[in-house]
Amino acid sequence: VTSLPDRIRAVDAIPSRDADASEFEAELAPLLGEAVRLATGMLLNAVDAEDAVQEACVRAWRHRANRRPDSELRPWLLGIVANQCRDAMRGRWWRVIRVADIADAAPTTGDDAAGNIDLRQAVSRLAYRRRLVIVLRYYLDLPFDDVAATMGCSVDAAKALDQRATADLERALAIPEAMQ
Amino acid sequence: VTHDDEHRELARRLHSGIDPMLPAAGVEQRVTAAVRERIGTHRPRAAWLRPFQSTLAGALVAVAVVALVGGALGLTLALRGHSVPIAPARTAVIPVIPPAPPVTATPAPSPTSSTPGTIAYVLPGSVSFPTATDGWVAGQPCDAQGRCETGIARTTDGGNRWSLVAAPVNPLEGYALQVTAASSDDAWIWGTVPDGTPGTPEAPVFAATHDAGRTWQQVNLGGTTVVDVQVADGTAWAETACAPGTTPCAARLLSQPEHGGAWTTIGPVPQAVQGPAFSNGAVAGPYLVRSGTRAWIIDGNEQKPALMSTSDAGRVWTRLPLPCAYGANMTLAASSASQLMLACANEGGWPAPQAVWTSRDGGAHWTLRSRNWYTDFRPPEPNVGSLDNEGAPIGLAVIDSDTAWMVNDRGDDMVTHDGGVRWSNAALPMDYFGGGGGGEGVTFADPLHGWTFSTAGLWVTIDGGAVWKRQSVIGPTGY
Repeated sequence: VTSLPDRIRAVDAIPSRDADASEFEAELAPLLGEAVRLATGMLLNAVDAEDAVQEACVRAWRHRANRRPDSELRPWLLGIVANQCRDAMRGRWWRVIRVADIADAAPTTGDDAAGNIDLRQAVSRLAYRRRLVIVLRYYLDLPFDDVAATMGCSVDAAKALDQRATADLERALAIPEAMQ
Repeated sequence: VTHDDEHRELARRLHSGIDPMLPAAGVEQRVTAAVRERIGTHRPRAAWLRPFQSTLAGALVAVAVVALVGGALGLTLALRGHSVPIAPARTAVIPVIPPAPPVTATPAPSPTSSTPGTIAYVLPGSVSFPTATDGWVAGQPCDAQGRCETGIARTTDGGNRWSLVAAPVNPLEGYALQVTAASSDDAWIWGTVPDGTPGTPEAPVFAATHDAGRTWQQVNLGGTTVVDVQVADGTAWAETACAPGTTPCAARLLSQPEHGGAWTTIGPVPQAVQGPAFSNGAVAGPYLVRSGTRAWIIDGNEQKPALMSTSDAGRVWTRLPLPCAYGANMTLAASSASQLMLACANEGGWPAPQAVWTSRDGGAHWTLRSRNWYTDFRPPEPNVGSLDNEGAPIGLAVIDSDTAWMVNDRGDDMVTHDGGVRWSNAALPMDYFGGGGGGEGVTFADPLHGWTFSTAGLWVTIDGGAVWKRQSVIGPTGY
């Protein structure tokens, strides 16, 4: 099967029943909270995060037949969410970090308000993969096994990336503190 | 302070900073409802399957027919080996509307704010080298404290020395523009920046310079966003997204002589490559490729991917076959009017299932060169060639019928010297490419002089890729 029309017919020939969708929905439901937190940590924008999770779930449904039999659903789904966030961050014509939005959007008050803005700006400056390891490891509190599975790398590589990312983040956070 | 304490403190700060950004309560229910609605209505169905859909027997018949057809085709492919010419799909000639009056251009306002301090480095966001000596970078110039702004740099000696040029927008941190150049004098930038009103969408930016960045002419497109600019055959073509408020989508192509002059409207982007409009007005995935008098527009829209080509300056467009698996993200590049390379990448685990196809006749027929990770895809496909890529292709630079470079999301840059059959990792530091999240782009001015960049910086080769060196765009390397 080589031509696109043939492939479309082949994909559509996979039986699709209401029961499939219900089963898929039930599998995904316990993971949605984590998916939303991952997208929020990556995009730092509630609307974009919700859109990204919705889009990722549709992608996951559309490609559910392609999940490797031995792979767990959680890292597979989180990987698709992370991928969707990356697409959103790197779109060829809206490569916009929205630092101003990040600073303005959250209605934080009290002593931590300035620190929270600094934190979000520091996270937003991290390169994609470093931001991802920080969010997975420290915001979702995943063990390195799961971080590595989600990122598609070895545990050692995830640990090495974590070291570099935390150093980057600490450096970025130290700048505004030093200026105070 | 133990490692655990540090972990807990960082986790606390992240929760404190990110939790207030979480979507409003009920997000899981909203997502579930939206997904339920979309997967119930989103799946396209081939017309010949519809009569069977209501019965289980019909579904089984459909599966059996597809299996038989697929098996027969698979056997045919096996007998032919892995070089699989694909018959062209039905050819559609799409007339376009006559050219509209010239588009007006006005001088861009001068930038109003200065750089944050001595520029220590530039984070490249877009790179264009029309020749081995003349290059432009749009990105984020930053000072030593990491304070950045939007900026444009230019070189006339292959990147040994760079200088910042005046940008036609106020320098804002976090906003990166795209750049395409035709020479050391002629360049176009596009993208979006805030329009200055809190809470309003970003405003599109599209401007051209024909005097090395000393002055810019901002092109008024009535709020429409430019999504790609490509230079060939003495002209720059700009592709716009859907015009705001227009239904159906009215994306269009504009043209300007590469050394300056009036903009003219070539016509609307062919309907087949007009994807659905996103909320930000951009079209889902189409982009423009040009070589000589030929041009192609490819649209990676998952539901209706399409490839269109013109050889008469956009008057008539012809639909070409697309060999990628259903739902693939596609990347197209040309080394001549006839020689094309197409990379396809699908969801389905990581690394992404992916394949590389080439065409010698401008896209009318395609030959499979390499394929990997589709063995447990549905339908499964055997591996072909040697494409042991840990990431997913997102960019190509095709030098000739043998040599091409591939930039990968979450993977190292790769190179082939046999037309796409065997691929090997480029001699680039893993830490900044595959380990750093992958590359952003790759471009070659000629077979020897090439540049590739990631979020960590710009690398150059002057010997066809045998050696790559990090290239500082202003300031020291090693940021």
